[in-house]
Amino acid sequence: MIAYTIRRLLMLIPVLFGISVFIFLIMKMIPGDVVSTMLGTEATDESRSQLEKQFGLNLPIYQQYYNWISGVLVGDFGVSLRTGKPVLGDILNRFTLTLELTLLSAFLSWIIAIPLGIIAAIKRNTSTDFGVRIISLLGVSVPNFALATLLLLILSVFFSYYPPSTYVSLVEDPVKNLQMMILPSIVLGTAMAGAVMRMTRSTVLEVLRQDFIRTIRAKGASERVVIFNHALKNAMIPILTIIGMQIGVLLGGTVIIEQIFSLPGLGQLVLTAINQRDYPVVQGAVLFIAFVFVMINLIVDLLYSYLDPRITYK
Amino acid sequence: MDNVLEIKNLHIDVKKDDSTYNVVKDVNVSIGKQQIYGIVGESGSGKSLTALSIMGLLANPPLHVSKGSIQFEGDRELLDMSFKEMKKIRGKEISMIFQEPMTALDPLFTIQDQLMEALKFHTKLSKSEMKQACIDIIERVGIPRPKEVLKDYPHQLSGGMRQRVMIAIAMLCNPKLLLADEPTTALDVTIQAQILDLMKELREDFETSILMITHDLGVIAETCQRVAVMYAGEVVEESDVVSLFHSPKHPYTKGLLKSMVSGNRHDDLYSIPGKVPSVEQMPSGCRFATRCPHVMDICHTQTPPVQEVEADHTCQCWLYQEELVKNG
Amino acid sequence: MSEIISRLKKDKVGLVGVIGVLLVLVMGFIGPLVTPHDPTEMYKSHTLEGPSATHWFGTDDFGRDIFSRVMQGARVSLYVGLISVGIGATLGFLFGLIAGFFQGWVDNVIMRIMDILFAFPDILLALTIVAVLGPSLRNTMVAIGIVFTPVFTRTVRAAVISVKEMEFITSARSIGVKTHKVIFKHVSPNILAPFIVQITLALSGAILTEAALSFLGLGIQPPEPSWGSMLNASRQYMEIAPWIAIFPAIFIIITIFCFNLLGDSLRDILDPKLNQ
Repeated sequence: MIAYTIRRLLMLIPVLFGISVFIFLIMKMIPGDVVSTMLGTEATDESRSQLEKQFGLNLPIYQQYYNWISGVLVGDFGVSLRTGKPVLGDILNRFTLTLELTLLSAFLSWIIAIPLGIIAAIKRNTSTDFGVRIISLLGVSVPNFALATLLLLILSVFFSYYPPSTYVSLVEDPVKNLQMMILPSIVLGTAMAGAVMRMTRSTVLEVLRQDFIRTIRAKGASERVVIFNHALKNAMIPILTIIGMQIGVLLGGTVIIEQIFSLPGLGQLVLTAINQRDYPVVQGAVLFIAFVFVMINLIVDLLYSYLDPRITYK
Repeated sequence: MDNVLEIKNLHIDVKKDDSTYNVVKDVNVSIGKQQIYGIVGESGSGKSLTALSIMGLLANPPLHVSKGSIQFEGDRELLDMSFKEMKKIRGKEISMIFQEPMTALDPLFTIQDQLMEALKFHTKLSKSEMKQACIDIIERVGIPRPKEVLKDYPHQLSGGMRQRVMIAIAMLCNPKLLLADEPTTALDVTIQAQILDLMKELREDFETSILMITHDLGVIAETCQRVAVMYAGEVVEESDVVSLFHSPKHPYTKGLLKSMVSGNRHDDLYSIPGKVPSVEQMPSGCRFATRCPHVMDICHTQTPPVQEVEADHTCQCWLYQEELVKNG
Repeated sequence: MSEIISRLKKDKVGLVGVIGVLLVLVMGFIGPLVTPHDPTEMYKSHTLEGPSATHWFGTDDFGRDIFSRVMQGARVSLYVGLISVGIGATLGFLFGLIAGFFQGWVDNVIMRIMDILFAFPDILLALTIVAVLGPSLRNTMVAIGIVFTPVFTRTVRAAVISVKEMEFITSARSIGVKTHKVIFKHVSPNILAPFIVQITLALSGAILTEAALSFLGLGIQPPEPSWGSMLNASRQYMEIAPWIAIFPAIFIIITIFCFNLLGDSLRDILDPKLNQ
């Protein structure tokens, strides 16, 4: 298992290399280079070449990539064009919020979606089942920004509730922090809840039709044992797949949710950096998010082999 | 009453698109102590449904028992039992093994987990006692290196081994009746014989009765004492095995025997022409009328009564009614 | 195809999806032609008015007619959806066909590139591409097209490989039918089913992504209406003019919901393995 994990980690290296090359190249495609952006209309040839030298932009492109990536590998993501502060520091500061938001949404969506999916599967073709199916399809169909806007509208018009505009971190005041994170998490987790609900329902149904379920019943098992000890465990493998895929939707969604609820997370950092054309920050933050996404998918893959003895550690 | 199980008048219906169709009709079966009783028939004859209804494991909906009684050990009516009461009988007093050993075990649990589970449901043994019981039963069903096999997952075992594990699970609590639904169909011929021998041995050691369900008259000949031939949900002939093979009465039984014999000896393989009618298009008279070589007018309109044609040998066919009428 | 239609007719839920999608299409194509107002015209003396006989869905902060803007927004959504899925599907079809048919190193190179694209959350990838190219209608479609390319590539590649293993392809090749002829004569029709399902589902995804980009101000640029940007603009006036938010929100939800309904029932019909 440990050897397998290490092997899987080593296999990530080419993928991460590809991701970094991709991000680097796409950033080089920006029309109007960074220097003109920085200098604005007052650019003189002298000040241009001085800045180009300072950022190493006069070097051949592979040299520029080498300089950037060797910095990244030792934690030097460059400095923000706006603030002059190191990019990595900003990313890590804001990542805790984004991670909290992502995990909270994921957790909330599971505790709602998995039980509802199971209930729908047990009561299939009843009105309960139909209701769950509609809810889950709505869940995957409602864009998070539309849901957020409508929820905030209802809360402000009918309950005079407004989301707090100053962020309180988890360490400062956990209770206050959770109070302000719960609404964004619900909104962000809705899509995952819908997807997980659908997957839970259909796989539990499928597992319940398998021969081995009949064997377990023939042993004298109660339905509780059949569903929770066997059907759910077997269904967890496809459910994990959908969770792995939906994590990307969650991470992407944080960009929107953090904007709507004024949460100073990584998503907001990316968006602000894009709007301010602060490219070192965009480059660094996008690379970081892609890295996190790849790592989460690796964890999901490892969980697979932990759950399913048929997967051999090759 | 020394019968372990008595099925009387068993009717099973299926619901399809708001209509109800009959799939098992008026089945009567009595299984004696330590007897191996066979039910033989083509797929779709209702033999597996009969076995599942004994366990209370019919897929309901769409299937349900509409009429009849199943009495276990003389006075316990299985059809009247609550889910809780049935749960105590399943796996303890009546066990079942299935056709597909490849899919009949949960792929995510070790063999030991799956054995222990049955013990946890039905006994109050300590953990080490349970472990010992698992080792004993695995050894008893002829699996070498029991301690290692217990730690294996189903996919690591061969089909024959898995069927032995299934039998081990079934025999774990020393049941009075074992229902074996096509236990050897999915296995190689050599493994088939081993599994059948094992079942015969276990029947003696554990003093268990066995209901053997198969489409293979060879399996019946090798293991059973009594046999019921089922066709399209009905028992068309019932007798002891020797009598059935020596003087088969029902045209369907004769056809089955003919296809079995010719399959072994002759080049051209005999098969009964036509196929089992679907539940929606069940003939109103004798259900075999559409394929019967001796079909008469009355067969199409009226169901033949069950007739004792020899001592302890019944048959459901108009041919013998006519004889009876002619002879006076 | 007629088989699909006849089965769709029986599937009530799928039928709701079909009707919904058709309504959205009608809305997008005909709606803007029949609306009483120009979606960008500002009625300066009628700002933030509630729904009325002249302005069915009310007016926004610039005094623009929301009904007209919602209709025009439907057109923009469909336009972006169709073009960007067209880009993604075409690229994906080509890459998938090449990767699946030739396999070997070509396959490896193509699929590793797709893996890299897959390593980015959809919105983030679209956002980054738009940030680089600059926000505009055209670039939004290009970005979404690129985002959806890997899904199509994988679908087509998997289908090509499974079809290739089928006996009739091997036999067609063994009697000397040329490789490219085999591809277009036999493989293409066989991968149509998963492809159609993917297109329906991608359409809802593309419409959603466009709306999200526009919501963030990086998609369709004003004054051109988009459901996403309308929703974003509405947030300032939520209490005094909730209709600015409600109508675009409802329309985007219904549109995506119907596309998903249709995609779901198409998948059930075309993939019998998933049927219960």
